[in-house]
Amino acid sequence: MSITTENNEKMITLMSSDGEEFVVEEAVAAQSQTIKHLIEDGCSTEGSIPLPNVTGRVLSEVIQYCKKHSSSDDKEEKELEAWDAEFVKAADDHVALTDLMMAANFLDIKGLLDLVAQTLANMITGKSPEEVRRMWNIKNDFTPEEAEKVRKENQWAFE
Amino acid sequence: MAEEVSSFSNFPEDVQLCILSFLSPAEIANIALTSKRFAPLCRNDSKLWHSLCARQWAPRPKSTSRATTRSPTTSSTAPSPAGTISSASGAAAARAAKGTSPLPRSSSLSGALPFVSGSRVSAVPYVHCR
Repeated sequence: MSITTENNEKMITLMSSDGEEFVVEEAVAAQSQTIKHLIEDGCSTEGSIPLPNVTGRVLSEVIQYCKKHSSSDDKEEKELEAWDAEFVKAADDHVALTDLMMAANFLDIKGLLDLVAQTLANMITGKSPEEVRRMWNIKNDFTPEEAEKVRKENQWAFE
Repeated sequence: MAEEVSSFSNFPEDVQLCILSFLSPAEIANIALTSKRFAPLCRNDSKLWHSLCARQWAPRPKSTSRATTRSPTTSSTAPSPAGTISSASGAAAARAAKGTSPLPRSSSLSGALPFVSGSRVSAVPYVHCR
């Protein structure tokens, strides 16, 4: 349902996969390209916009990010960077970050996607293949010969 | 989301490539060694290596880069990473990366890639990686 507030800001209702409703300003919701397109296509005029791939817990975090980023201007870049760092720190374990990453991808929020991708990449940094496998639950299906071949192919990267 | 979708393996390929594009070549080579599935992913020239080069050489558009990201007026279609490479050296390296398969192997190329030095985190100009 689209409501208009006193300061003439149009409000949008978003519904998570588990039925939780969030009423946010259109400018906040439109940080998501997916939602922006849905609004442009008139999907927000009747009832709430359903987001079947995002749970309420994750959506509330995403909205927090969008609110912060729609209200800050360029002068506050440093402050915003510090805020971003705190934001991903709060979602520290990689399961929560994975959920955020999937949501940012589905909702098409470029800034959030890059932020979480960078954080997940940082978790890989400095880890051996075996450590990465353990962290991401990847099964090693290489024979020793195949592994050696890949290692040789990529030797240049370590030089 | 459920526990079983919490692994890197469950991400769509574009998302996996986006994460890998924030790593150094040596780290990407380590990922290639994790399993048969990820070895070809790490050889993805058109997406991964182009966006690595773009990240390194694309001019950093001052403070407007992230504002553009935030602005709802931005088009949803990301410009092709190759299109964001503007310097001659970046384009040359991208061509070199493209020309050698599976990974660019020329030692002169690896020497010419400054992101090997580990400066990439601070130098991330928020280019589109999808």
